[in-house]
Order: sequence, then structure tokens, then C-alpha cells
Amino acid sequence: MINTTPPPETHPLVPLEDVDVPAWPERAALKMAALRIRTLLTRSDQRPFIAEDRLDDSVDVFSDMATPAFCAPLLAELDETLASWATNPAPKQWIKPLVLPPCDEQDLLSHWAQRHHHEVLAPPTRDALLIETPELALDLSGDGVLVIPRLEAWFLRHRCGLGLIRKLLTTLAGLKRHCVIGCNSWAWAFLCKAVDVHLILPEPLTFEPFDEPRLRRWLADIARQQTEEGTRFRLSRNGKNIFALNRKGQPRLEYFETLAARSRGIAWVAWHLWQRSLKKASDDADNDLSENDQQTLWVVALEEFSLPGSDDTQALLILQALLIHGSLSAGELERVLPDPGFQGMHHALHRAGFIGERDGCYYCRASAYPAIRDGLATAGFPLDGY
Amino acid sequence: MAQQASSSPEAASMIRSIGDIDFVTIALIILGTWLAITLVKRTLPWVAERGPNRLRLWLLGAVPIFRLAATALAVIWIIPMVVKVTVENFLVIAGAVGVAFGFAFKDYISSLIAGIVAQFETPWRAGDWVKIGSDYGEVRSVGMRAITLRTLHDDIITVPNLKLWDNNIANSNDGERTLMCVADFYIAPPFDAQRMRAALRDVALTSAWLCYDKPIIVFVEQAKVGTHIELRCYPFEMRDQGHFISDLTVRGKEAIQALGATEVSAPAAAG
Repeated sequence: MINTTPPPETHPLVPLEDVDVPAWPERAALKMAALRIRTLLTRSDQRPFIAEDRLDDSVDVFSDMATPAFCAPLLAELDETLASWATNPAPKQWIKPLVLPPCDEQDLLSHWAQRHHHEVLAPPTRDALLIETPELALDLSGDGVLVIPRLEAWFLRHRCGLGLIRKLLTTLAGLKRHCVIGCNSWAWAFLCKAVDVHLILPEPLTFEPFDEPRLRRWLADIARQQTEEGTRFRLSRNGKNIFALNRKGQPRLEYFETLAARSRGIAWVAWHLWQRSLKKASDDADNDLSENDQQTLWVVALEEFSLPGSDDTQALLILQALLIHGSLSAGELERVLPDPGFQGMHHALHRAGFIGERDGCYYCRASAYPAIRDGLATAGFPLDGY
Repeated sequence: MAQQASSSPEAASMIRSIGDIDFVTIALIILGTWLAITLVKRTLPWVAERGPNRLRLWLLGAVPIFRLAATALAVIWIIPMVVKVTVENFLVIAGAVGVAFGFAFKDYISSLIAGIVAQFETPWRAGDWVKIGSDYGEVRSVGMRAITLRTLHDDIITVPNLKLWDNNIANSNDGERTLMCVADFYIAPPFDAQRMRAALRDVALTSAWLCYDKPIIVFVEQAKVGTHIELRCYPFEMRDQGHFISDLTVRGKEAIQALGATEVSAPAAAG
């Protein structure tokens, strides 16, 4: 069935304002609403924080998967959108702001810049951001395309942490050079309020959300490349092939529709959720090879993880700060959070799998993003535009 | 005299005879209404506390409306069981009851009427932050006779609806999900006022509690003790106003110090 699924199509980037997040299939929406009501009614105030919401129980089926394979369709979409603009000597807009969905662990835009040998503007250190009168000289002149992959690395949500981004934006406003600026959607929402980035830079573009057909084709393509021929993906609940189509060529199951809605159409979030839901049978005898399957991978139902809505503001403040900044060390977290009493909470979030740690910096994990966003939305936090 | 004599039997016939009144049904209606009101009174605030923030005010506001509707329904249901309903009967009974209750429970009845008026005028709703007299707090419940406020110091204050008639009521959010918070600073001149305004604005912009949809205003005026600066902005959740103002104050003081300015206090200024 994977072999019959057509390869993914390349879609150019779309304006951020036009983003339409995939809708939930009716049955899944009802099921989720019922689950949420049940959680609401049975949740105990005495419950240990996120004790049963551990996310770290997955098996990495595609752990050997190379990064370029994961990014390839997205890099192709960047190429399609930016290729002709990058070679135009007198473009309408010199600057192309790209608002990327959060939890981009692969640093996609840096990857794209590297592939095309574009100049990348390295961000300053976080300590340098807090100097009250930044003396850093910003010389953006030069030839070719300049890429600023992470605008969120140019500020800190601190009373002294906005000086440099203001300076950078002022310089960019008068720039006559091809420049691609990447910014995560949470940082963009913050910067719109803090420094009017939406008034200084042109209208940003973003990836078109991955809806059901697009997601199914994309994941089928990855599975074709990464698994043995004849591998089938079956729902552990009923053994049905999740790639199976009916006579009209429509998917028989709502799996990918649900996955698209849960991931809000964010490719890497969907990929992490998908990877987390794949299990290998521990015993060969458990494998159902009745339909000439060489190998069966079992797809467990997508679980609904939840964060406390208003019970633990401290945890939500940490997650919000990490989403805005991309990643922060423990010391930097302390600087951007309002209350100094958070010391233990980031350990709890890390242990539970909501946040990851790399090179001493914490970041929100893509697989936990739907739960994190729901938690922040429930508690009334300001959200991103994606 | 002849007319008076003829009206007495009519007045007596307004009320149904004891044997015709179904006391069991009346008791069941009263009990059912009380149970329904109690259930809604307990359930909706409980759900509001745990559910999505955007539904909280809506759920809390539904409680008094439901109670008013249920009570009105019960009264409309019971009256015909006890009284033969005609316009004349209604006027006679309303007059008699009004006089009796007016003397005996003047303030209580006035509070009840104020409670009903408040349902329509909405000077407060459950979940609003109001100041009545010197009491400031969140409206926790809206009763027929009184409302309860929870202050920032976690005290519960019961305020009779009667206050509606003769008190100024300041409603900080008026049904919205946020309210303006103000952090005050008094600074001794001379200092760079423009840089100070910009620095305090950044203090508000970088607060984790900030609501992005509302404006930030740095208001400056000259006072006797020094320059008075008000940092006015909105938190995304009004129950966090204490945290928000504390955050603005602490970091605002840091910003003032960093700019080399000095805060003044009233006793020092007086001296």
C-alpha cells in the first residue's frame, strides 16, 4: 500500500495570514472532547505534576534516519519559493521573512543556507544581548543572499534584551541585498508586540500546513526509503493497514487526518508523533504476516497528553519562554522568567519528556508541542499565529 | 357599606381552599428548584476553575442567570396552584405582600430587588474585579441578596446588593478577560525622562504576564514629591495581576537604578 501512495508534491510557501490549520475529523474530535471532559472531571488537584504524562516510552524505529531525508521535502519547498527571487538582481522585496513553526530541531533554514553556500549571519551570544547599549557593529553589506536563520537568537525577553534586535531591524529596513530571515512563530508573535517587526519587515511566508493527503504522501515516501520492502503499517487496535485506500482512492482510516490535526499541520511535529506511535512487535510470533508482509510495524493510537491548565503556572511560564526563545540554558531561563522560584520545575519537565536538553540548553520537544500549546491556550497565554 | 360587604367574600375566594392546594407538588417544585440551583451553583464554578480560561467568565456569569430563571419559573408555576389568578387578585395580593414585607424586611427586599436589577444593569458579574467602597476583589459569587468578593489578600468579603443603590462601583474589567494594572514610581529629578519612559516600556514588554493585544502606556506627571510615572499595561490573565504588578515593580526599580535615577519616598520628600 505504501508503494501505491503517490510521491509528495512540492508546495510553495504561503503568507502567514493565510495559514489554515488542518481540522479534526469529526469522530476524532468527539473522542478527544469526551476525553478532555473526562480528564477535566477526574483530574485531582493532589495529582503529582504530569506523573502519568510521560512521553519517553517510544522506540525509535527510524533512529538511523539521516537528517537530509527528513528535511528534503521542506528544503525543496524553500527552493521553489526562493530560487527565482534569489537570482533576481532587482527583486520587489529584498527581504524574505519566513515564519517557521516552533520546535524546529533540525535548524532547517541553516541547512538550506549551507546547501546553497549562502552567507549566514551568526547571532551574538546571549550575554552580549544584555549589554544595555550594544556596541556590536552590524555590517550586512555584501553580495549574494544573506541568511539570518533564527531571529529568535537576536533578543532575550529581558528589559535589556531588545536593544540588539531593534538595531538589527533598523539596519535590515534599509538593506538592499537579498536577505532571508527565519523566525519561529512564537518569537514572531512576541516581536510583533515588542518591536513592531511586522511593520518593519515585509509580510512573512510560512510552510503550507501538512493536511491529510500531503502528510500521508510524505510519510509514505519516508517509509519507502527507510524500511524494508513489503513493510506494512498496521493499527495495533484492529490490525488495519493505515495506508489502505478504498475504491474511490480515499484513505480507509482517519489516522493521517487525525495526525495532521493534532500536529497542526507542522511537518516535524507530525513526524515525531508518527515516529513515537510506531512499535515493533517484541516477538516474531506477534507479527501478522498473513498478507505477505515482510515486516509489520504496529501503529499505536495517538495518545492525548495533557498539561495542567492553570494548576502550574510555573511550568507553563517555562514552556512559553522556551517556545519564544527556541532554546535556553538554566541560567538564561532564570533571566527571562518573572519568579526566581522555578529551579526544580525544568527538571520535572525534562524528565517527563516535555522538554529536551542539548549542549546545556533546554528546548520544547516537537512530540510534546501539541500538549504544550493546548496547555498554554487553556491557561490563556498569548499564542503564536501558526 | 353594601359594596364592602360584597368585596369580602371575593377577597376570601382569591386563595384556593386548603383541600384544593397540592402541597406535595409545591414542595417538590421548591425542592427541585433548590436542588437545580445548588447543583449549578457548585458545578459551574468548579468547571470554570478547571476548564479553558476563555470559558471561565461565561460559565461563572451563567450561575446567577440560571438562578433567577429557575426561581422565576418556580414562582410562576406555584402561584396558580395557590391563587386564583385574575388581574384583581394579583393587584390585591401584590399590595398586601408589598406592605407586609416592606415593613418587616425592608433592607432584605431592597437587596433582593437590587440583585435582580444587577442582573440587567450588570455593574458586576462573577469573575469581574470590582471596587465597592474600600473593598477591591474578584467577584466569586453573585447571590440574590449579596455578592462575595475575594480580595488580593485572599479575604472573602460579603457585600449586600443594597450597595448598588448608593455606592460608586468601579469595575476594572467589565466582563473582559483582562484589566489594566498600574505600577507607580516616584523619581527624584533630574533624570532623562525619555530614556526612562523607554526603559520602563521595555520592562512591561518583557514581562512574561503581558497580554499582547492591549496597549502599554507610560504616563508621566509632575507631583510634589517628584516625578510620578505610571506604567499602565494589561496581564493576559487578570487573576495574575498581583504577580504582574510585582514583576513590573521589581524590574522597574532595576531599570531606574540602571539609569542612575533615584526613587523618592514621601517621608524623605517631606523632610
